[in-house]
Amino acid sequence: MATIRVEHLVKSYPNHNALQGVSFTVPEHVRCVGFLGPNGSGKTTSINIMTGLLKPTSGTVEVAGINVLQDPDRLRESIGYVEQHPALIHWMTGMEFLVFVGRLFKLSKAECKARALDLLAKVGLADAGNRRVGGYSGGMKKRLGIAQALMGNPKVVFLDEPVAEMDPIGRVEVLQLIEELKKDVTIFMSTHILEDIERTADQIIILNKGQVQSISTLGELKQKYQTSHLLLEVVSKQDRLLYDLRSGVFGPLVIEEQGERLLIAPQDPERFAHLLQVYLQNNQYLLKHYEWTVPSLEEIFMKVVSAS
Amino acid sequence: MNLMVMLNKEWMEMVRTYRLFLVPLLFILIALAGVIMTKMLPELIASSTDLPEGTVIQMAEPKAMDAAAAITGQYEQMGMLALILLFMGTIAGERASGVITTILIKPVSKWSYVGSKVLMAMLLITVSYLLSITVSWYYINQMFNDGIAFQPFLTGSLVYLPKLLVFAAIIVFCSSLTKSMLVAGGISFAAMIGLVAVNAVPWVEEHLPFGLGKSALAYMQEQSPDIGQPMLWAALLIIALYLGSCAVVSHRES
Repeated sequence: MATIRVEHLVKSYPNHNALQGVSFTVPEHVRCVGFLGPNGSGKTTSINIMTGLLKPTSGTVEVAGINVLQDPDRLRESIGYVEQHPALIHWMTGMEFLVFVGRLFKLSKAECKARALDLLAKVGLADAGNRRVGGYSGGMKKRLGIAQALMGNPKVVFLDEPVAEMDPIGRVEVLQLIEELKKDVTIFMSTHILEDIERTADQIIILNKGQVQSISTLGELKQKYQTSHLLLEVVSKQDRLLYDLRSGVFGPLVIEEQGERLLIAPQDPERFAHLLQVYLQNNQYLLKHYEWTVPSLEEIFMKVVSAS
Repeated sequence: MNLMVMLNKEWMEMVRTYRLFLVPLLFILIALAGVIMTKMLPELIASSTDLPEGTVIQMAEPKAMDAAAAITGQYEQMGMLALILLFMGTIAGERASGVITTILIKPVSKWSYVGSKVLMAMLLITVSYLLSITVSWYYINQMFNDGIAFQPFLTGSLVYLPKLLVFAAIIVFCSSLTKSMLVAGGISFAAMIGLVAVNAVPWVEEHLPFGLGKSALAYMQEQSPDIGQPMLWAALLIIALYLGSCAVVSHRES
C-alpha cells in the first residue's frame, strides 16, 4: 500500500501550467520523502493540492489511503502541515496554541494538555510553553509549527522548506527533530537545501517545470548519475601517462589537467580502475595522489534539472 | 463541536487584545458624546466667535428626547466607522498572516470558522451597545430635567440594534473578500456610503433595516410603528451575508 499516490496531476492557470501531469507514489516503507525542485517548479502547488488547500485542474491524489478531492474532511484528520513560515496565533502561549489545535481534532481537554506537554518537550520548547508565541524566535516558531502539525496524530506530515532561512544551530535542531519524527510518521519535505535531503530523505522526487524528473532513493540516484572521477597525481613521467591515457587503451574517458593533477572521468569506472592499476604497476609509477570522487546530490540535481 | 472551540478562540482573542474592554468603552464614549453635545449645544453656539456682534439665537432648551436622538445619530456615523475599524481585519487579518490556512487545514468547517467570527462580533456589539445605552440613559436623566423612562428608551434602542448587527455582518463579509485589512475597510466604508444613499429611497427606508433609526426614536416616544419587515429583512440579510462569507472563504481557501 502506498502512503501517497499522485496520478496525472495537472494545475493550469490562465497564463501557465503549474503542474503538467505529475505522477508519483510514496510506498509505505518510505519514512521521509525529499521533494526537490528549483523555484517555480511546482513544489508548493503540489503540496497545496496534496493537503487539500488547492484544487487541481485534473488528476487524482490519495494521501494515507484517502482521496484528497473526494474526502477532504477525513484528509484533514490524517495530515499535518507546516508552512515555510508557520502562521501561529501570536497572542496565545505555545501551550494554549497546541491545546487549541488539539481541540480542533476533537481531543478532550485532558488529552490536549498531555499531548501538548509531550510535544513541547519533543520539540525542545518545554520551558517556553507558557510564553506567548509572539515572543518566540524564528527557530522556536518553526518547532512549534512542527508540534502543532503533530497534535492530531497525523499519518503524514508535509513540511514546506522546513529549515529555510534558519541559522545553523536552528537548522541542525530541526533536522534532528525530523530524524526523530520519521520513526512515527511519514514526512514529506520540500526544500532547496540538498544537504538536508541527503541527510534525512529515504526517497527523492525531483520536480522541474511542473513535471517529475526523477523518483528514486539517494543511492539509486547516485548510481544512475554516477560519473565517478579519479583525481590522480604521479611522482614523475606524467607526460607519458597523459599520452597513454589519451591513446584510447583505457576506453573512452575525459581528462582535465588541474595543475599537477589529472581529473579523469571514465565511462566505465570499474574497468578503468582495473586497467589503470595494472598499467601503473607495470610501468612502476609512484603515486602522489589517488582519489575517486562521487558526485554530490547538488551535482546530480543540476544534471537532472538541466537534462529537462 | 468545533464551533464552540472556535468561539472560545475568538473570546480569548477579545480578552487578550483588550477588545472586550475597549469596545464597550468606545461605545459608551460614542453614546455619551451625543448626550453631552446635545446638552452643551446652546452654550457652544453662544460661545461661537464667528457670529456677527449682536446676533441673537433663540433656541429651545434641549430635551432628553433630543439627546436620545443624538445617540442614534452618533451611531449612524461614529458607530459605523468604529465598527469598520474594529472588524475589518476579522478574516482579512488572519488571511494576511496565514493563520486562516493553519486553522482551515485542520478538521474545521468554514461554517464554524466564519460563524465564530460573526457570532462573536455580534455578541460584542450587543453587549457594548446595551452597556452604552444604559450608561447614556443614566446621564440623560442626570443632565436633562425632563428625563426619559428606561423601558421605552431600551425598547427603542433594541429596535436600532439589528441595524448595527447587519452592518457587522456586512463588514465580516467585506473582510472575507480580501487579505488586506485596509481594502476590507475601504469596501465596508463604500458599502456604508452606498447604504446611506439607498436609504433615501422611501421603500428601502420603510422595509429594510437601514431605516430603523427613525423607528427606534418612535419607540422611545412610546409609539409603535410596524417594524416586522425591517426585522425580517435584517435576519435575512445577516443569514445571506454569513452564507456569502462562507462561500467566499470556501472558494478562496481551497
